Amino acid sequence: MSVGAEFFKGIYKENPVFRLALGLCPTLAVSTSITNAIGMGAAVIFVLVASNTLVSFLMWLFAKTLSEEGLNSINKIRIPIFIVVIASFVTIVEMVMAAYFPALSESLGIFIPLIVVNCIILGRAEGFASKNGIFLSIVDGLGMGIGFTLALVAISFVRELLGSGQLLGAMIMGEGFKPVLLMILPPGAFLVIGLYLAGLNWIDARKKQA
Amino acid sequence: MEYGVFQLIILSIFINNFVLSRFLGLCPYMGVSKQMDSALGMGMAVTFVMTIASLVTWLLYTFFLAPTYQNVFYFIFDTPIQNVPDLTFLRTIVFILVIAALVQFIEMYIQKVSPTLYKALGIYLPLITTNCAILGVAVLNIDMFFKDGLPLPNSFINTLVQAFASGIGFTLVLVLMAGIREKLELANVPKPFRGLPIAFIVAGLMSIAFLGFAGFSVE
Amino acid sequence: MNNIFRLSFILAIVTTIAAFVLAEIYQITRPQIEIQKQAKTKDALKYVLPDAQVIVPVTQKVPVKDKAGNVLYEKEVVRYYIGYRNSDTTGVVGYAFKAFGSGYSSIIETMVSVDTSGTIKKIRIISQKETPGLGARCVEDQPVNPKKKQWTTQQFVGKTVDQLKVDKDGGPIVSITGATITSRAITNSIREKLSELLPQLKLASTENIGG
Repeated sequence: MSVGAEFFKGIYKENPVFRLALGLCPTLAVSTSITNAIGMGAAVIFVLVASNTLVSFLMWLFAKTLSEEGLNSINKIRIPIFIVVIASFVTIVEMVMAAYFPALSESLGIFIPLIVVNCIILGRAEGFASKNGIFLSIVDGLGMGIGFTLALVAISFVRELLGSGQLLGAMIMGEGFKPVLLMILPPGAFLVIGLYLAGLNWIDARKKQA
Repeated sequence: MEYGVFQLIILSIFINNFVLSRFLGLCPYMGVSKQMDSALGMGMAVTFVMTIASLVTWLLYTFFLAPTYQNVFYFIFDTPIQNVPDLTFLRTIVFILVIAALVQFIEMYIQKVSPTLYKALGIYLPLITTNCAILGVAVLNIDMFFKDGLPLPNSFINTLVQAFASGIGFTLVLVLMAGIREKLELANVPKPFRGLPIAFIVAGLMSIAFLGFAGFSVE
Repeated sequence: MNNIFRLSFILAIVTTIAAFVLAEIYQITRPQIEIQKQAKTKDALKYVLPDAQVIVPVTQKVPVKDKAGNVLYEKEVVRYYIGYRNSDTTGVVGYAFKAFGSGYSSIIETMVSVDTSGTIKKIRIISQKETPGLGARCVEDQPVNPKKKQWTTQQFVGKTVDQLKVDKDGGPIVSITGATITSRAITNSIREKLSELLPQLKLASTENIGG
């Protein structure tokens, strides 16, 4: 596959949220406003690219330096090593956010440490980065991360607009608009993602017919 | 904020339900809710691991990570309390490793001791490591029952109660969802909605129903 | 078995390296995190006491005890702040204090200022994690629709300690729609803290009576 295809697959064809249904918890939890969505997206992009890079580098290093036998035993503790790598990057994000973006850090709350168990990240480390070169792994991480962010923004766009009449914190709807509170509350998240998925299914079905 | 045990149970099961209001553990909620049996098995496995993981992470946090007078450096090595290292920033990495190891041990232990239980829970255990409900409850306990690294009154009991009750809340909605989805199999759902989309819509409706509990004052 | 130990050893090394890297980054970010924590209090103080040149905390030493009751060390805790008009700490313009209330899903921290007669000058919600769209609207300081009677933090201005009750409890404070618990938590926490502190504040009116 070409570099471009590796990048764009994460955005539409293999979008982690809409196509693979991965990383649902943070997607639904933090999509109450676009600001939160972008903050979460940025954190995930950083962790994804950084862990993909390091995992890919480590695997390359192991393959270069270790004997067949050593490589086999390393393979047994491959996953724990990935988890340590990911958890370290997540902790870095946690600390940097608390230090420089305190408001964002407060509104994302426990979903920052929970990036560790976001299946997208371990999934890409194991499924892609451990088998591919550093450059492609970065591209893959970027594509998947941006795809995740776009999905988050798409969901939070609807929820913020209908739920509070605002976009990026600025009032958009006119005076007479009564916010649909439900959208910002938990049920809104489930309903919006359900409708998005159904919409995508419908588009796919139409494409197949055409 | 001080909680009574009963308050905490109601809060964790209904008002702040892990799945429908906190958005934790969605992957198994969507993935393992197609059949009643597997939903029940998964729910029980999650409740079990959540309680054990909360116990272990609480002990680790209090005795090793947080700079309190319970820290091993203070009461074994006699370090002055001001010099006890503050390792709370290692929380995430320590917790996830411990949970991963714990799940492995529990799996091996159950396999040896009770093959029947292993048959019931075994296949769900490996999935649990990356279930955010487990790490979620561990982190939440620290957020709620510690302030500035110091345990609040009753934090140990509260931690166990919250973990167990949250697990029960998770099992409850998982089983409810499985019941609905078994019926949905027979329903004539519009084509684009089949599969995941309708599951999300159902979850949304359930979440609206659970919102009704939010009107309760638990004081 | 030997293999398991070797693998655990490798994993331990990897984890130790990670821990050292994180410790290094923690050292760099910690001062900034502390600054951010204090900045919130500072901002809130400036907001509730805008006419004060100098704001001085009044502290009290609180002993930290272990379970057996032995005093481990003493911790300095801020009880309230005094705002002075002049930079040489003369001319008290008012006092400020923090109130903590248990809301619906979080502890709500409020900074409150009172003038020298004990009536509220201004309040600001410092931190809360209430339900978005419901309780989280407690931070609003301007009415969204000026024609309707609704919750704003402005409505606390000029209230005295006996007036701090929400409408559901028969007081003048308009609660947030659908979030009575949040409104009550804030109002009651301010009332309790204020009535606790009132005897300690050197209020102008009592001074006059005394003099």
